[in-house]
Amino acid sequence: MGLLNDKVVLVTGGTSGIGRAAAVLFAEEGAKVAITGRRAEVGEQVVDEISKAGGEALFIRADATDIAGAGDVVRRTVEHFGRLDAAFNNAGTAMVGPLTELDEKTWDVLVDGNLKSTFFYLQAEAAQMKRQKEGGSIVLNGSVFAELGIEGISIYSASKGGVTALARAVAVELGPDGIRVNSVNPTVIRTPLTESGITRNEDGTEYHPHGEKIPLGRLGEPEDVANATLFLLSDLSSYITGQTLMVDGGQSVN
Amino acid sequence: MEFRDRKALVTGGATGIGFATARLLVREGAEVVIAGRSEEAGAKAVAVLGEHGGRARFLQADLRDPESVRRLVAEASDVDVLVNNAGAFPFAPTAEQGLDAFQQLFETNVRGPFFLTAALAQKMAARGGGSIVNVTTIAAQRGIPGTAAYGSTKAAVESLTRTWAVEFGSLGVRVNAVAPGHTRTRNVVGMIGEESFERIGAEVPLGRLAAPEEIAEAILFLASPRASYVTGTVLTVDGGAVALT
Repeated sequence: MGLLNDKVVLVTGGTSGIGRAAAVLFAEEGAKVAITGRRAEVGEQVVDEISKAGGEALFIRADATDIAGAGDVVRRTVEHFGRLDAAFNNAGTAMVGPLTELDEKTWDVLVDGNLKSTFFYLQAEAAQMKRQKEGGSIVLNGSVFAELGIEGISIYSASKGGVTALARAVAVELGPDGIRVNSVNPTVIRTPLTESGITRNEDGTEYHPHGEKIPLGRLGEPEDVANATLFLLSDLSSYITGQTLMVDGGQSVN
Repeated sequence: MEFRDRKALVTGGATGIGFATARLLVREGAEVVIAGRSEEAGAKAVAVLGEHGGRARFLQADLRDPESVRRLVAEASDVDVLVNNAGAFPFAPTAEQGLDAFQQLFETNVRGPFFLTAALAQKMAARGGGSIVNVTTIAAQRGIPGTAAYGSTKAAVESLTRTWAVEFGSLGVRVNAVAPGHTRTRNVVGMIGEESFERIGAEVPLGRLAAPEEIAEAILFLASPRASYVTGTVLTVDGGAVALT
């Protein structure tokens, strides 16, 4: 018995990093998983990995910033699996730079990639769940930096602050339909996006400039976020909505 | 069986949210000690927890009494999980709050858990780690008339949650809190009245009250290895009430 038995779950940005770990874990927990991403080859690899482990998965090639494509992704998920019970809106992007050097292009890439796409996928998912009239659960991937000020990531932080505010606002709106909306807010997680910034300290521990002062003494792993998301998507969290779950080793309170 | 070979202490574990938590912990393989003031309620709870081979025992303790807290630390011995759930919740408008009741509230809800945690976290650290979950309330985060003294004790506990997470983090001990919203327990329903309690539940976004098990599942998640990178956080389990207010 898995925590997501027979549930159909959509994971955006499911081809690498957090999204990939989440898709694999959800399938282990009994879910039928639809994953999106831009790279078909890698997407099919994830599907193969899940299938070989006895799970069910579908890859849908889609760029999360293609807003018109959100409805299509939901439609194809439902065509294939019959319904949609849960979603992890995980796709996102990161860029850094000091305030005075950031340009409008960077703003657009970050706010479109992290906030705009999250909103329009959320809209399409909620519409499907409302039609089914059986509730649902949606988790948005926020960031600890939505609440913690760190140099050089101002636009990224603002875009993720928007994501957590969105979860709170939409939770209130969708509560009467039994659709729960929460965010997970990770710190630096070891993924292809962050790997180049990770170096080794003299004592062998790992260092990332955005991952300092973490009381638990290590950077996060994709599985850490996948497990927190699994809890929020499952029925174990049936009374939790509009919340931000920090997955940060305690960084935000230090 | 996420808690196989784990030992847990749940204060206030004979009734309500504490009992629901003890029950889930037993189901997941933990050996559970429940602490409480009433021998009778404790014996009854242990009888239920012990069904189907569950391992549970009761220790009589009153968190208001420092000597009783010391005894609890000694008798519970080494635990991997501590759930600071016991708490008093007499409500009163601020102008009518009695001095003695105020004092008692802080002794039960803050001083007791403080020194219990201080002693047990050390022991957990010595064994290589552990997990502590404090049970608070949404009244610690929002202005709810009539809960001034009670809410401030729990706000103190949420502050302790953050400080302890940093103090004990490098020792492998995680500390988090669960802040329940309106939960259907006999004590609360008895105090507020069935009808008005249902009315409060209808006003939250999910349109209903919580079952004690729904709070307990959040406590278990935070206590479990699934939350191994989560510490210092307050997880609010309130059907969206705080998001709305």
